[in-house]
Amino acid sequence: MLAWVTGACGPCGFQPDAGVKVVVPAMPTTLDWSHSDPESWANYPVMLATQRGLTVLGADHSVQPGLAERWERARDEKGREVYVFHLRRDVHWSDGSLLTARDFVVGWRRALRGRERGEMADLDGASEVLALQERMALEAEVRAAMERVGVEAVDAHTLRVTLVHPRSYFLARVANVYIFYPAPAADLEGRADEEVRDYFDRPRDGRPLALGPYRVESWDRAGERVRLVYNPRSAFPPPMVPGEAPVPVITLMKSEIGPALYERGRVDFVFVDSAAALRVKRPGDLQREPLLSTYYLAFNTERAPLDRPEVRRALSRALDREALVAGLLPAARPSHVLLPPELPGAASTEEAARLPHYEPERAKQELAGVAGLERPLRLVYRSGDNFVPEVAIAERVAAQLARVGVQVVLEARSDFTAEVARRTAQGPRAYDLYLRRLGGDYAHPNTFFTLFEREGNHQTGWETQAGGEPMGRFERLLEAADGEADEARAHALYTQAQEVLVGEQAVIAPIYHPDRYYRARATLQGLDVDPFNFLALRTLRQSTPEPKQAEVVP
Amino acid sequence: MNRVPARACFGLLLLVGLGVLSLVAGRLFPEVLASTCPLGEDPMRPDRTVCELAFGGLWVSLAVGLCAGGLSTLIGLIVAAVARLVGGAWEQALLRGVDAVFALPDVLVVMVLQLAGQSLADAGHSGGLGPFGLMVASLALVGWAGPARMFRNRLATLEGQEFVAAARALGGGGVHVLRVHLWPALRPFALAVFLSRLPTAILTESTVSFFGIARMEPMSLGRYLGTSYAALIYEGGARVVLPAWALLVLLVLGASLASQALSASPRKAS
Amino acid sequence: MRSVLQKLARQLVLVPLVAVASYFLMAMLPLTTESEAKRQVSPELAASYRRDLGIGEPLGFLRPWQKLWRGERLGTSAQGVTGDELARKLSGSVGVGLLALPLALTWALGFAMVRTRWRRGRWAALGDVVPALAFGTPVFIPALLLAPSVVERGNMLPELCAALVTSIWPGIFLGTLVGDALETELSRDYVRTALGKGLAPGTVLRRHVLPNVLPALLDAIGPVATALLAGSFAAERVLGLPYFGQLYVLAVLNKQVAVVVVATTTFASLLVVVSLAVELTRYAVDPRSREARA
Repeated sequence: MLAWVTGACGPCGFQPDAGVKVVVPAMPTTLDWSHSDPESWANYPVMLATQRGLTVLGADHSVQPGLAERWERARDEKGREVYVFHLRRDVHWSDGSLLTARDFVVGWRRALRGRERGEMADLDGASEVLALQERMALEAEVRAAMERVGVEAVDAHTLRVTLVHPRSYFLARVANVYIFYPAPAADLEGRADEEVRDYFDRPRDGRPLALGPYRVESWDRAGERVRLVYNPRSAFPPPMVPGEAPVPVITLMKSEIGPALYERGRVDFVFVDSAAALRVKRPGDLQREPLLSTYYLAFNTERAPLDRPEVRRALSRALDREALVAGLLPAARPSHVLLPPELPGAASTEEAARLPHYEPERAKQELAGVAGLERPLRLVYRSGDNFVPEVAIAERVAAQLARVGVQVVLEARSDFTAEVARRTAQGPRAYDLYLRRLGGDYAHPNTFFTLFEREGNHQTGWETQAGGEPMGRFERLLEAADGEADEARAHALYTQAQEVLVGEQAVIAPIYHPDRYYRARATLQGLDVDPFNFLALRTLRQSTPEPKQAEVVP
Repeated sequence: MNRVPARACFGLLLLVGLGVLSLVAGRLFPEVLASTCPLGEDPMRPDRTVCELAFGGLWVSLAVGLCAGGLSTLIGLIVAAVARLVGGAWEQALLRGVDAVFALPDVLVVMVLQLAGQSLADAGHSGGLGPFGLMVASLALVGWAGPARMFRNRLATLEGQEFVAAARALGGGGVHVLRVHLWPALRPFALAVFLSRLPTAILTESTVSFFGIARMEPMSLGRYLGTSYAALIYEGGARVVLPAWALLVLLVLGASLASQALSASPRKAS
Repeated sequence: MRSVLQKLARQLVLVPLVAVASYFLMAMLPLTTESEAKRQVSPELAASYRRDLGIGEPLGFLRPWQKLWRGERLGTSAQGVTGDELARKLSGSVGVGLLALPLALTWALGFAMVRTRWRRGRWAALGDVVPALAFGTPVFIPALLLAPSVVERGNMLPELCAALVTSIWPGIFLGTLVGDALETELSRDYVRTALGKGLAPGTVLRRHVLPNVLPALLDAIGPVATALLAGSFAAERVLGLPYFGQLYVLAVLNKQVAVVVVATTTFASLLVVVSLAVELTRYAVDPRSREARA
């Protein structure tokens, strides 16, 4: 074994990489963007830097051409929505091979068998494939069903996509959700499953191929490092002005002491999440990114007294959102609406005014004499480090509700997800209130509502309210809004859905729209956080230092 | 042997003092510390003061150490007694097993056991063990081998003495000799062994908590140190970490002084 | 020599024992996923988990080793590692351990000497306080104090620091032991006789006392090696060293069961290697170990 150990010892001593170093809060769980992983948020920075979707989102969150230069949208006789995407002809993979429509077919079919295949459910025929896999059908059956799924290569540069129902969010979605990105068909077809896994998850010899400005060169799992190198063949280079150059190497790394390393100039980007850092000493180069995200208080609608909408609305009115977040962060956007104001289709001021907001006197009146409020309510929140100051907010919620005569006991849980889902012997879930952050995956109202659908992971039990009528109405509104091609009409429908969820039923009480804080070196441009809370590397470039005259040797 | 040595006295006093302090400050009157703590509030949890968290953690750590140390001493004692009672090849086999467990590093095994326990708890088969019970159980499961070896050797030594031979000659059975003649002689040693396990258990728990593997709630001293280590790298971080660290050192000092003095004194007397 | 081989055989039994015990402990566990906000819990994940561990197959407990031998990845997800990665990580950790060993011996010698001197003066209490301080300080505290100035510096600086912080407690522990043994030996009659016959104190120490102290030192090497390797886990994590300890902690956190089984067994094998080295040294330097069983 000694021989084995010494034989394996390569260059002894660990040498850090040169190049730009970025401290990330979590390492990717996989580099296989089609197969993916439920913990996908950690993979986004790498996927967004190395791959591209059919569309991209502009600075104003509007849909712009990406891999597709244009597209047509139509309804067929069965009421399905058909998109025909015309691909750009100048896009090459990092080995020089041309991007073709086949790459999408292969990638999306793999995604249909991956760990996030539920995300593909809008495709025509996808539900059949999902159901077959659910009941562990024969391989041949699944393959046959896969052939019928609504994604086909008309020719090398034309892709036809069929959706079961019209979906207004589809174009925004393919821009950001990485399982819709194409996969290099030439490299993958004919390989065994295990080989394909290795292809993605053990990067070597220029594989996996990339379309974006960077390519993954190596991934050290134990060292928690991913090394990205510049991909000169990319059709999407960072936008450079004279005096700027691409960054040849980026290392994404995890470190418990990121801020200290940044102070000492050893890393170039760090998230500033710790309350200590924001409180004790606020650094001069601290930057803030408002997120498309909402932090909210949810009610367990199955437990008395919270099973009555008027009680939930009154509790929502008892919360002074301004005071809940005051002084905790350098800046904050308190809010009582679900959809963030930057989102296309967010509620107007009048629409927002109809939703429950801080009215302490009214809350006190409504709550006076409500039966069942004598017992203390249990508020569960996630323990551990987080960029949302959860402990302080939870304590302030308890204090504010105490002012209207409602007692709240706090419980920080490291097993938050399990605790919120845990049911008592009598049937309803065990918690009364919980605090959680919801983040958008793409810039569309739909992404904020899916969590609260019947199948969603909201754990509030509101599908049982009034015999399921409000939930049915909510889902019909969403269905109509998702299928509405006209933006103004879709907006009105989403506003109504928000009204049902936050106003009429008051399943949740939104508290504020969180921001993310970070520090990045001034010489690096385009290194920041996007509104979806993902590290953005797509436009990263560096200013080249002025050549010093004195050093020029004649 | 009649007189407890001064070092042991000092160690025991230190331990008891820390215990009482943590009980009074951490459990009975935490609000007094909340209002008077000279070290101010904890930067990671602005609602709590450093003193509250440190003394609250001390209480939990002491509880973990006492339970785990006591349990592992008990298991060790039983294993040693069984080994001596069965004797012969069985004893040798048992000792090899003890050696095998003893050779494994505590931290590593506790990590594996925590993983196992948490998986079971996630699937709903925790068997009523919370994070605290799970930690005590895993610490006891790794910690018994050392005491077992020590007790077995001690028993072997004691059994060679004349009063034991006399008892045997008078027809005393194995269990009778163990209970009536050996146990009284073993008692101070058992206390010393227990005291030596105490700091080991506390430190192992703190290291495992530092890795973020244990889910101790409320926080133990180790977990407090583990979760607020980020404070170390910020200005003023020392005031957060130093009290917890100092308490840990005092705890270890008390336990090791008492344990050393207690285990050494009977040997000299005999 | 037979006694050494006998001891080795006893130790070697430990390796398959650990392998089988850790395997069955892990295989017994229910598979849980902690994913959030996602609707489906995939049945194929469970299938891949069972495949990875060979659950339900005859001789299934050999599966992780089979995979290791074939150079396949251990573990169910992308976090899996192969044998050569494992070996490379292990070599790094062993390197840190080997750096720490001489450091620990230096600490030991220094502390033993200082303690012997303190014992007679008013600093006697320090002889108890220093070990308590060293023992009561988890490795991660000094590591964190050093981390900001060495992480990402390269040039073996993090490795050296890791070795330094992990060696403190084992060094002091060894020092206490050696100090005690030294004192006991120095108070024995043969030392007085040797000194009385006119031998220089240095010669007495070298020729008569040290050979008698050495066995006590060798006895302590085993636990010290365990402490060094286990201590390096925390140091590696804080100092950003991508070695075996990091791999192990991540495997446990990500529930990579096959990796945990293989890594635990590797660790046990490493300890067997250490104890073999200790036995061989003892055989060479301690005549009593040769005579006892003859």
